[in-house]
Amino acid sequence: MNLKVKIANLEFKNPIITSSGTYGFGREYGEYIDLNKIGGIATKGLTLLPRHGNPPPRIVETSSGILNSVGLQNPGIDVFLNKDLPHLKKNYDTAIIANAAGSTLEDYCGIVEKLSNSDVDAVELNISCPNVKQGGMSFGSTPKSVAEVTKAVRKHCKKPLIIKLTPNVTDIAEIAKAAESEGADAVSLINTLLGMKINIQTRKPELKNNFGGLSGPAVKPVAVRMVYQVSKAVKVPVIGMGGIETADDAIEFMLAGASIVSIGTANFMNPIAPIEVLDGIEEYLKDSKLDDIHDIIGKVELY
Amino acid sequence: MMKSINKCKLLNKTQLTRDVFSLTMENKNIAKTALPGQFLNVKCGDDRSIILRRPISINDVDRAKGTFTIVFRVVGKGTKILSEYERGEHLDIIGPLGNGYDISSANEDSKIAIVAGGMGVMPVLFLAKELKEYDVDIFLGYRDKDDLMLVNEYRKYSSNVYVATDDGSEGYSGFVTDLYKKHLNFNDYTHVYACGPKQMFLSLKNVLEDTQKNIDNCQISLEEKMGCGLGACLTCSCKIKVKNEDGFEYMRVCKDGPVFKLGEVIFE
Repeated sequence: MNLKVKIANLEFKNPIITSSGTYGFGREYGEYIDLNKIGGIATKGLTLLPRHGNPPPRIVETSSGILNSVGLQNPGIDVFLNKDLPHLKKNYDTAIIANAAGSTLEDYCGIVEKLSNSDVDAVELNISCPNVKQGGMSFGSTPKSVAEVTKAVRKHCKKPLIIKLTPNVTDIAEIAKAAESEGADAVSLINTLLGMKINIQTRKPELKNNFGGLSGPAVKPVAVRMVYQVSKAVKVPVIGMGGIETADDAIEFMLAGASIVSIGTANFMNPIAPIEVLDGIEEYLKDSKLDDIHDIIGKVELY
Repeated sequence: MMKSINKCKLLNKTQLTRDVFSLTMENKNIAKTALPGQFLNVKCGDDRSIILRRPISINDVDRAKGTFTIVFRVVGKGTKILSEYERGEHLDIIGPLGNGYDISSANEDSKIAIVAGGMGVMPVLFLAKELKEYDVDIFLGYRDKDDLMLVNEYRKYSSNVYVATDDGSEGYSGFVTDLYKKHLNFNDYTHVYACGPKQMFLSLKNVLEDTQKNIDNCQISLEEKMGCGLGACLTCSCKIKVKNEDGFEYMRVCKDGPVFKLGEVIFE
């Protein structure tokens, strides 16, 4: 049975990866599952300089979801390259996708340059960050700014380049096309949906940052719809994520057009989720008498 | 050696006050490895709309029997479901997690104080048990006499258990930190272990500073809303003083804590 999928010249042993921000650099979850069994891990979002992140509370549970406002706390690219990446490369045989963020085009180019010269297997660009030079709107919010940032970093990136799309836009297909047009090797979606929860006793938001990103099963229908629309609009592979807990969820995303699926929030309740999803996909293929994962990618039939 | 998720059989359930429950469960791994001050990340039922486990401190451990106890207050959806488990059912628990209290320097010559307020009374019983051979004064603070719980359990491990209630309906009238302050007049504690709400820690800090006691001898257990509970997601951060450019770093309550030195925590 073939479960291998490719992004540019990078081959994933299977279509399961874990989502940036939920998994750190794999150290903690690596004590609960064998990371060699999954296709890859997307690291915590990295910035050129270390970031403290937002003041707590940074998380609140909502119905079938969570809101988070971590604020990209990370040790900075240099600590990652000197400490966390060697640890990952030494101990695990799985694709390491470095997630990178920035506030300006210069930041993005700077960090991608460093990652491109390192041992990471791919670079995933987080463009949900507010663009400080353009009044705080995120780079990912218009096709024009997505094209601009993709074009700028493409020059610096020898590795497969994945653009991670924010769903907080009007037309996700146009956004994806803009990324593809400037050389993205793949797109990943969805990042979190912007949300808010108010405590009616204190009359204040539950998050200290007031707003946060919604993830978990609540977002899955939005994510599946967007993966479908994007996969019809672009030719590059699509990484799908957003509320995947079970193999059934993952298969939905693959039928919608995802070549790779990513599990994030589900790990909190169930550290074994990535393995269960992988096993379930294999079982589904066996039961359907199929022997290649590509037999289900993009195979949904609309009415 | 991979860590695994623990399946724990519920042996006994007791209601301690109007909204506080005690669950005693069987699991050899947890009973064997748990340290005082550590917590467990508990799955509450099978309702799939509940996305997060609930982090609950370990109240007691019986290493010989292979059992452990958690005590918790029902504050929302998850803890409500937790209070409805019946004997014989199994719970799905990740842990033990966190660093626990450092008792390595405590010995027969030490004079130890345990200061606990409100929900903080639940986790330090295990600590009191581990320190029972030493000279320990235990200070427990409650809202009122209906809130009292575990006092007799504490009396098993120390003959000096002092109770305070905010409204004076039982024991000393006032905050537990005021009661503790009185005892500072004639005691020099070498070790102080505290657990309770943020306000209690701030009061404790003031008391220690006012009486010029060494704040470094005091360890506190912090609480923060958690995500993964393992140290990966960085949602349960707390501000800790470090020698760097900014003077602080956000550390993880679930992994670097929950126990920190009182002097190194920056309260906002």
